[in-house]
Formats: sequence, structure tokens, C-alpha cells
Amino acid sequence: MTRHFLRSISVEGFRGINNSGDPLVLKFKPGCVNSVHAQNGVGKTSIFEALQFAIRGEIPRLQDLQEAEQGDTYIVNKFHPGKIATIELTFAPDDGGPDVVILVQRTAAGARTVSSPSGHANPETFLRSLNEDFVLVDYHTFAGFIDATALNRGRSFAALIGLNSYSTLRQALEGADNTRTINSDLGITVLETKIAAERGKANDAKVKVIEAYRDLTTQEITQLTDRAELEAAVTNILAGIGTLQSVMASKTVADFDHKAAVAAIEAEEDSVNRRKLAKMREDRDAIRALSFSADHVSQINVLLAAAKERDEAVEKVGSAEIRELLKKAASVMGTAAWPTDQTCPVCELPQSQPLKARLEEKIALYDTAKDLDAALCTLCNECPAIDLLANLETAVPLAIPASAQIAPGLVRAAKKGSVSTADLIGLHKRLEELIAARDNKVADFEAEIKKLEDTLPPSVVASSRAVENAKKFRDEFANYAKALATVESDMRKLAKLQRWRTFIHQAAEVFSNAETALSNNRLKEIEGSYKALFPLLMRGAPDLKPQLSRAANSQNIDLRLSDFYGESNISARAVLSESYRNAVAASIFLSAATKNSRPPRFMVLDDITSSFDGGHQFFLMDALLTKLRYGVAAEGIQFIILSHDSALEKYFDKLGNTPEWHHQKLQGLPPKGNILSSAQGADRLKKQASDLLNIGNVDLGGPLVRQYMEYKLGYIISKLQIPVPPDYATRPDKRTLSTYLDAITNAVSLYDKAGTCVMDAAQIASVGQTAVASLMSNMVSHYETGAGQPLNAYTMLGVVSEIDAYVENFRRTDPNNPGQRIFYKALNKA
Amino acid sequence: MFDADKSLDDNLAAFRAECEKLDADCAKILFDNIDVLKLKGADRDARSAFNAKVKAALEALPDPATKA
Repeated sequence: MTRHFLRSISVEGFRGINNSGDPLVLKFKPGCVNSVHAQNGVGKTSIFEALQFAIRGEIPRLQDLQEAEQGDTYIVNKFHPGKIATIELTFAPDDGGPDVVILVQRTAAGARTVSSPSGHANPETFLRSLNEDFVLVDYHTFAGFIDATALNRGRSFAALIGLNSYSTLRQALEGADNTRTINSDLGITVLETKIAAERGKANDAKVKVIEAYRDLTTQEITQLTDRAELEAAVTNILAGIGTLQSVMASKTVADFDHKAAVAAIEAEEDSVNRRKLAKMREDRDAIRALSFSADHVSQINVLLAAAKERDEAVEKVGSAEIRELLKKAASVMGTAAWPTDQTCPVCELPQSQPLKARLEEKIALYDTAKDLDAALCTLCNECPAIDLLANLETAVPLAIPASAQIAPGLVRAAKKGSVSTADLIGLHKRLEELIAARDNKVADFEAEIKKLEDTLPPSVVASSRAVENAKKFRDEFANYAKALATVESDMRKLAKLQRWRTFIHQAAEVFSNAETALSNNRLKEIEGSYKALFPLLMRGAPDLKPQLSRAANSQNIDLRLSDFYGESNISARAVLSESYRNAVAASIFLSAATKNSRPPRFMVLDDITSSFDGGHQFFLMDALLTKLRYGVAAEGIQFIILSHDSALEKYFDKLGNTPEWHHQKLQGLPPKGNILSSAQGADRLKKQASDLLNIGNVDLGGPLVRQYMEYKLGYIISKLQIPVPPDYATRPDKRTLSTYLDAITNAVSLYDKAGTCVMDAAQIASVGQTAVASLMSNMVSHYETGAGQPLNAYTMLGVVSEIDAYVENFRRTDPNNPGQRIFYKALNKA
Repeated sequence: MFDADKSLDDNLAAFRAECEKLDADCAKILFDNIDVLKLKGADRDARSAFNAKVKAALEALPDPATKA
């Protein structure tokens, strides 16, 4: 696969980089370690964000802002006259092919366009192919990797080793295979409960059909398979009752007129008692039908289990009040009221990890409890046991007063989504009480019916009973058939849902097994590399032997130490100091990046050494230079380091512009003025300063003069190897212009007194005592201490020309080219 | 199933083939709708949106033969 180096970036009108008509250009060399240094506030972060925006399509820092803060409106530089951000990236293929140039633009209105001046067919796809986690790395990436949960570390690691797409798909499949969500969203639990209830209804109806048939025919049956035959037998019995002959003419049990049959019997004799008997039988049958079965017990147990699960989930995350507290805390984070993400708005204590993400994670836990609560209410709404309760409590013969009824409250709670566990616990007991009352009432009815039947002629009693049983046979057979049809229909629906559930579970399993195997292989590939790199970064410290290991059935990755002062299998997160954690993360990230074979062959490291002391910074830079970069390692990649660190700057200055190291420095005045790289030339800095001063703009021109002077004096120190104080490299407060000037003046004086200075007498005198140095010193003093009168534009312009005159003191005519001026090699060496 | 030397697309094609072996209809439903979870993340809302699409697609499938 062809991979790509980053050859250059050109930025205008983006974030802090205005540079209207004069883009900031940074060039990078594939075979070098590339470093870019900038003091705070000079645009380094804007460079990193330009790469994020171009390659990832977003700037995380702005994405994290509250919606009300409208982060997107800060992408285009506020002061750019054209109100358009332009980022041009040039990529060099590692197979020697032609460069690929990609142009990303964004208007203030939010339109993003991607094109390719070099003619790449699909620039969007090309940029997407570069979106690998190892490409753009900052301090938080390292810190986050160690401090993350095992699952997040696993996901981050998957991205790091080029398996991000696999990890994303695995997460998607795990989401699709979430049994609880499937059961709830697809309605599987409710459907299963409904089917069980319908089966119960079918069984109840079947029993009643069999009872009625037995009463009518004195025959025992166990199955209702031949409905036509059973109906024919019952029809024959009805047709054989003389009183009913006219009613049953051309009729069957399925369509005979029950009312007409009752009327025919009543007309025969004793209609008052007959009606009373019929009514009692009807009432008896009505309440006897309200039976409490094992299915109902199961349904109640399902409700109780669901309530318990819900209660446990709620208990795990805390009360609803805590949830409200978390939500309020999350809503205030990032607003003007509480802009920091590192301190808790409630307790005001500092946090080791960004708080907002943690709050959102905790709030998300409530989703589970919420889901379970919703599932419980759905189950209650569909629960036949609760229907039975309602029917029993409202059955007229039982005469339960409204004030003693609990079903209405339960139904209301289920509809409102607030069923309490206590309500459900009482449900079973209440049903048993009502069933006992019902049984008593049925027994009362039976006694009264018997008494009444004894007063009626046997023929009337028998006819009446036959009609009622026939009706029961017909109605219950219809109920039986209807319940069976419902079960069949629901079973078909359930079969499809279960088919999906089975499929998605198997598919997710197939994928996770394959992804785990792939990831483990990659893990094994880099294991030797990060284990070898860690002691190089922490030279002189014990080799703690960091060890990544992946769980068998999840994406979790554990980070342990194999040798923590003799102890094995120790949690890295628990015991390592910040610098060690970063060294472990750096070992892993750099190893993964160099073992990666994805399209990008470059890695941009933004201020990753913040937690390292000078020595360990050097070890890290040395590892990049001598072990990992493209050119020294077969799998090496191009490194681009962005830093504001003053100690590193001296290291960069020392190595800069050697064949292995390419260094650039940013200078300028963001966000209104331009930013320039040192490679773009100090002359442009001087021109900008002069242009501004010529129109009287001292506020913007003054700092540019200071930067120009810093560049020129620093160059003299570097070029002529002028000794500086020992703490010059490590203490920013010692790296002032006055230190530069003092170092140069003292060194010239020292070499002069020793008689070894190669500068001519006029040059030596000029450095030591002329107005040049004096004017510059005044300017330096003003900018460093604020002392004295502010300098006006004319004075500043004078300083600019004096700087150039001052630099001439350290140059001589080139003996090989008389028209050319060159720097002395050193103060004692021409 | 996944081969480290093959591209993501090739490996995903192999996964799709495995899914089709399991159940071709369900595989189609999965690949027609999985972007909902890939693009939005598999949080509760995304899962519900995905499951709603799955449910609609399942309802459109012919009924299987069942016995009550």
C-alpha cells in the first residue's frame, strides 16, 4: 500500500491564523524529525487544529463547547477580511509518486469544501484514509490512554493499531445485540407474555367446552380437534328437546337463538323461577370464569422480577434526585458560569480527568434504569393477572367497594410509568383473597341453584340446563378458537423477532471473535517494540515491563506492569507517576504507529512532553531521531513535533537544519496580525514590522520588532557558538533579549581580552559601546520591564535598521566570493 | 475470518458472507441499517432507531409456518 508523508501545510484565515493574502507555510521533510516551536499564543495550536479540521473534519475542542457557545463560528479567523479559512496540505507518497495536494476551505457560513489542485480523483476519500488515531496525538491522548477504563483503552487501542473501523463496527453490533434493548424495542417480552396469556385463555375455554359437552352428552372428551363432529352432537341434543323444536329448525348449536330458546322454555311453565334460575347460573358462570391459574402466578412473578431488576438498576446509579444533580452539573459545565472542565462545580475540587465526559457517562447509566422502568410499565399494561384483579374487584356478585379496590391505582400507575414494587408485592395476596371470596360466592350460587332446581319440574330444569350448556359450549368454543388464532398470529410475529435475535447474536459473536483475533495479532506484533522502547525513554529508571493484555470476550485492554520493583502483575494506572504513565503511553503509541501499515506515514505530536523533565525529553527526541524515524528504521515514519517548551527549543535549535532534523519557529501576532515561520524568512518579519510602523501602528509593530531582534540575536548566538548561562536553556525567564545581548557582549569582550577574537576592531567597538547597542537595549528594557517612555514608531523603525547593522558586526567578506558577506564560524574562528 | 493482509472492505465482505450464511434476510436487514449505529454510536437512542428499522423490515418478511 502506498503511504503518504506530510510535505507541507499552508494556512490562512483559520482559528488564530489570519495571514490574509500571505498564508503561513510550514514545510516538512519525510526523512527528518520535524520540529515547530512557538511561544504561547503564537499559533501552534491553530496548526494542530488545522490538521484536525482538514483530516478529521472537526475540531474536538470546539465540538466540546456547549451548543450555546456556537463553537463552529470560531473556525474561521474572526479578523480575516475574506471570512474564509483555507488549509492546503501537500502529501508525498512513499513510493516516489507525484505529490497529492488537498485544499480544504470553510466559509464563515459553515460550508466546507475539499478539492485537489493536484488533480486527485477523490480528495475527501483521500483525507478519510489519513484519519488514523496515531496521526494527530497530543498530551491528552497519552494521558487518556493510561487513565481510561479498560474498555475505552481497548477501543482507543483498536483505533491506534489501525482497527478503528473494526472497533466501531463491533460496538455497533454489540449495540444491535443488546438483548434488553431488543426485547424492549421489538416488544419480544410483551409478546411472549401475551402469548402465554392467550394460551391460558385457550386452555380455560377448552376446559369449559369439555365440561359443557360432558354435561350435555355424558361423554368424556380430551381434545377439541373435530369441531364439526362435536357441534353436530350438541345440535342433535338440542334438536331432540321437544320445547326447542321450532327454535332449532334449520339451526345448529353454532347459530341457534339462545334468547328464543330461553323464551320457549319459560313459556312452558314457571317463568319467574326459571328466569331467576337462569340469572343465577349466568352470574355463577361469570364469576367462576374469573379463575386464577398458574399462568397468572407466572405473570406476577415476571412483574416482580422486572421490578427487582429495575430497583437494582436504580440503586446502582443512585436516586432520581442524584440524576437531576448530575444533569444540572453537566449543563453548567462549559458555560460562562463554570467554564473549566477540570474542577467540580459542586465541590470545587480539582479532577484528574475531564469532568463533563464523566458526568455524561454517569447520566447514561440512568438509561438502563429508565428502560427497565418503561419495560415494567409495559408489562403491567399488558398483564392478564392485573386484568383479572380488575375484573374480580368490579364483579357485581362480589360487591367490593370502590375504596377497597387496588386495581384502578395500579392501572393508573402503569399508564403514568411509575409502578412501585410494593404495589406488585401485594398483588398475589390480593388475588388469592378475591379468589377465595369468589369461591365462596360460587358455592352460595350453587346451593341456591340446587334449591331452585328442586322446585322446578325436572323437564324444565333439564331443558334449561341443556340450553345454558349449549350456549356455554358455543361461546367457549368461540373463545377457544379466537385465543388459538391470536396465539398463532403472535407466534408468527415472535418467530420473526426471535429469528432476528438469534441472527444478530450469532453475527455479533462471529464478528467479535474475528476482531479479537485480528487485534491480538496486532498486539503481538507491537509487543516487542513497546517493551524495548519503554526503557529507552526512561533511561536510568527501573524497567517496569509494561504489558498490554486483551480480554477474551470483550474489547477490554488491561495495562499491567510485569516487574514493579519485584512485584508482578501490578496495575499501571494505580502506581505510575505522570511521567511514567506518559512514557508507557508514548512507547505504545510510537510502537503502534511505526508498526502500522495504514495510508498515513506521519505522526504529529503536539506538546507531548509536558510531564517530562529535560532529560526524558531528550531521551524521547533521541528515540525518534535514532530509532523510529523514516530513514533509520525500515518501518519508520515521519515525525512532526509541535512544542512551546523552552528547553526543547534549544535542543531543536541545536539540531535544526542538520540532515536528520528540520526545525522551524513560529513568530507573529495572532489572531489579528500574521504568523510566519522562520523558514519563511526573517526578512518578511522585518517587512511586516516596518509596514506597520510606517503607518504608525506601534501596538502591532513593536512586538514584531522584538521578535525580529530575538530571531537575529538568537541566530548570532547559534551561528557563532556564543556561550550562554547554564540555565539559559531551561528557564524561560532567563531567555530574554537582555540575556541574549549580555551573552553576546560578554563573549565578545572575553575573546577580545584574550586576544583571540576574529572580529575587527570597529566591529568589537560597535558591539560594546555604540548607539546601536544602546538603542536596542532601551527597546529591550522597555519591552521587558515596561520602564521608561513608550517608544514611538520612528524610534522603532530606527531599532529595526540598527538590528541589521548590529548583525553586520558578526560577518565578514567571503574570501571565495568577494561580493558576499558571511558569518564568522566562531568568535575565535574566521 | 479476518485476514490482516486484506483491506477493511475485503474483510467486511467476508463478514457479510458469513452473515448471509447464517440468515440472508436478516443479513440484508443488518447491512441496510447498521450505519445508524456506526454513525451515531450505539447509545440508547441509536439502538432504538436501529431496532425500529429492524422491526419494520422484519414485519415486511413473509410469515413463517408456526404451530400454536
